[in-house]
Amino acid sequence: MQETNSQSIPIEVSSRILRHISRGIYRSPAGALKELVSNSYDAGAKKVTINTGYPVIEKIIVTDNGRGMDDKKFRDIITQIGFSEKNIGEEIDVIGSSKHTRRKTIGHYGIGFLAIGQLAKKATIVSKTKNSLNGIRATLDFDQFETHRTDGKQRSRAIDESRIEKGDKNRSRVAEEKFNIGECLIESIRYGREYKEESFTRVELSEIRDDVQRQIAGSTTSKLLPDAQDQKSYSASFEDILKLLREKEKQSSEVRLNNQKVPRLREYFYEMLLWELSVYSPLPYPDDDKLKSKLQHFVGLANKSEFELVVDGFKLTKPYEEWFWEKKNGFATKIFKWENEKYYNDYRASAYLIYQPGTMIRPKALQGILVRENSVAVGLYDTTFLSYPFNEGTKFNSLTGEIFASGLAGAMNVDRDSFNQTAEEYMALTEWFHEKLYSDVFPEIKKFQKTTESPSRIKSANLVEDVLNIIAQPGENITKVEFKSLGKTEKRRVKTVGKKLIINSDHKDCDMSVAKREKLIFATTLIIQGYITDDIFEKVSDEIERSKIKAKNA
Amino acid sequence: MNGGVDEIMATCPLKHEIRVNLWRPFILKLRKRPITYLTLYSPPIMDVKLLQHHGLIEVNNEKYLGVVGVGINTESEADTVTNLDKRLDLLLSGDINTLINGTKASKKAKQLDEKFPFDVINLDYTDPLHKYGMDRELSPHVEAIANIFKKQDKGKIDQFALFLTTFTRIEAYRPDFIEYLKGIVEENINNTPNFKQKLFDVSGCENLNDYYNKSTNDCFAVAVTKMILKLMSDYNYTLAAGDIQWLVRDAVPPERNMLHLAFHIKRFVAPKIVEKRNIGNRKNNVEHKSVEFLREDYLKLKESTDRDRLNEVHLEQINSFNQKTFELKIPEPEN
Repeated sequence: MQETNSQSIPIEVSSRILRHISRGIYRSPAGALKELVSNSYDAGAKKVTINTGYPVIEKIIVTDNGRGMDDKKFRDIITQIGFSEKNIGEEIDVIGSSKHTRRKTIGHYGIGFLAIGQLAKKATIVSKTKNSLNGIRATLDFDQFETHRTDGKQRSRAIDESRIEKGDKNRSRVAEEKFNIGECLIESIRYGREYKEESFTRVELSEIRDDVQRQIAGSTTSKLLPDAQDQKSYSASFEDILKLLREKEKQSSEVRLNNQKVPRLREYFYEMLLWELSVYSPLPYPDDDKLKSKLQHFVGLANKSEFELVVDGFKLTKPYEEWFWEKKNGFATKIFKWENEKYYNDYRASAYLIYQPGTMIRPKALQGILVRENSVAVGLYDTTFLSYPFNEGTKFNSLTGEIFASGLAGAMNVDRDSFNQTAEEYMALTEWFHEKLYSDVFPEIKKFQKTTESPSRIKSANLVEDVLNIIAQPGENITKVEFKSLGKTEKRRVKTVGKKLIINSDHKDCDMSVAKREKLIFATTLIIQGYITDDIFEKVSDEIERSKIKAKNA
Repeated sequence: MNGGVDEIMATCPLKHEIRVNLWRPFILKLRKRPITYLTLYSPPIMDVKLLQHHGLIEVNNEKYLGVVGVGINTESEADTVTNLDKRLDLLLSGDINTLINGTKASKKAKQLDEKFPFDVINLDYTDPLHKYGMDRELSPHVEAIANIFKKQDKGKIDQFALFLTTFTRIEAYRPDFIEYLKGIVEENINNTPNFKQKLFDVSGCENLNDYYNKSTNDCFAVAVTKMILKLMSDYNYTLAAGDIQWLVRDAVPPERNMLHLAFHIKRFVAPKIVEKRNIGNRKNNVEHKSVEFLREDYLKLKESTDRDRLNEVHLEQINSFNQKTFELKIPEPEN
């Protein structure tokens, strides 16, 4: 057995990074976990597993089968956080790939490790490279947290920034712009010969921050709503989660607490974490034939990196399910695609947009456009469509899509979750995409809406027909009501033919907007029940129309 | 894993012997695969892994189909996910009795109720059936067993396997419950001559008190069996086969006896009266079935004598099941 060789070194970061850490540079725990996943991806891993220990979340363990780190590499990373040179776009081998797959790296390790500091006070990293019997075990302890016990678990919370800075004045400052934010104990460890070929990295986070635990488990809800855990739905698969999120957002729900109605607002945070991870990570699309045939090019782009992410037994894929391709209100989805086009110098982009006529994209989080740099999402779905300057009303709610672009690394902010909007590459991409929306997408949607009966109108007309046919019982003057196209030249709104009442679907007063629908139901009920005739209805409606024009002109 | 019972369940070869040589054979009696399975799990959830290993439980890419697990609390829920390679069809945390006996206002109780009926139900309790000091006349455990029969009957299932494990230190029980159990055996002695005769043959005892004093645990086991037979007969189920085995934890005092009961239960179908001997024999009379549970020697697995032998038989499988989790494994270093 070899003697343990351990050494303690300070973890140092630039003052700029320090401010980001204590405020939190990632918008959510998923954003921070994404960084660890990105580290694994850049290490050539084929598979990453995350064990969150939900719903307790005492530890979070991220394990990959990538190339691992030796002592030197780890020291380089940990001592140069925020100073390390970017290595984005470097071509690397996927470890253990039978197809000799290569992929481009997407991040830089140093920043990735900061993600740990946003999730937990402590981390133990165990790593080993191939063809070596030596490995490292590093224990990171961040200073900007204080620990305490909650529900029998060791947790931590951030201490405020001013205390960190004050403390730093009395502490070792290596350079003007460096701050000491904690300690890292590195030990060398030795493995048996049988493991010589293996390479891996395992990051175990402990003393999880209170707010992180609450954000993942939604335990705020538990305190607010004692029965919250009891009322939660269990998901057996990732598809169940997508279905749950889609269905849950359709209905608001509430419970009674101390004789007051309280909305259930934070019930499905864990499921949202998985959703966000599935969006962020460079994952394959689900194995779905329809998807493969409709978005072949994009399935190829996403699947080529041979990457698998399993969280708590859920095998994550990009968030689509078979349901997504079904006809909605009788209308098939419409797909717009642009493949491998130049958008700036030699940088290329591929994008697709899916339009679901007459319905909103569900879950809502899927509405918008997602930008991917080398398959990794930068931010979540953007409902402003990269700040599209024109108002296209509710059409935006029916659109979802992705842009796969190269060359955006320099345009990303330090959180790698958003773009510097003044960066030239990003501006060029925005322009390219907006031009597609303006020239290809919206004109086509408008044309489609003009030539086709709108699904909402069809739905509305069906409702009117159903209501009126309930009223038109045997014994009434009218026993049947139906919408019929009588041509644009027909001036009448309604017409009785024997005991049947026909509503002219070509007349502008019968176009089934909500206001007109209610008016039509009221008037035709009077006809059905014999209070007025169809001729009187026409006469009065024409009179009202004429009076409206007069009033307008006056 | 949180140590204690979970640790034992993950490593104990005696418990694995019960899984392999009591539970599995009874599931095979159903002649059905894949099965639906309700288990009162301990996080290593070795039973599910064993049954899947033998093709009795079906899996797809993500989950164990038709498998519902109920664990004691959220800690055990987290541990179970950690210890599995796939998700269960439904995983609930909370008291199994509360969930089974609960109203549908509780979402968890409703979720569980919707999964009934099951081909196999494994009530692997680690506590007494009616605890000492419990301020309730009807034990929640017994109520849950009765409700299981009710739910199975409502689900129109014609045969299933039921496993029941319980702790048999008499002092840990509510005295009323022990009296109730004794009454059940006494009833059998008084009403079933075959029972009385066999009791004498196997134990040399002619009355309840002698039997209770001589073989308290065995008397308890027979009484619990008889109680379950009565509960099932209320829902027109009857016993096709049953077995009793003991797991004795005697490595560290005090000695603890865990009773393992296995039942193959079928819908009772009254015989047609085509022969004279069937006249008056059309009732689902389970009384006489208790006779077959009277034995001189029950199978007893003891830590002190059987651990090493069973370790040799099961250790490899136990270790391989423990390795079967969704997480990537990394090797242990030498130092």
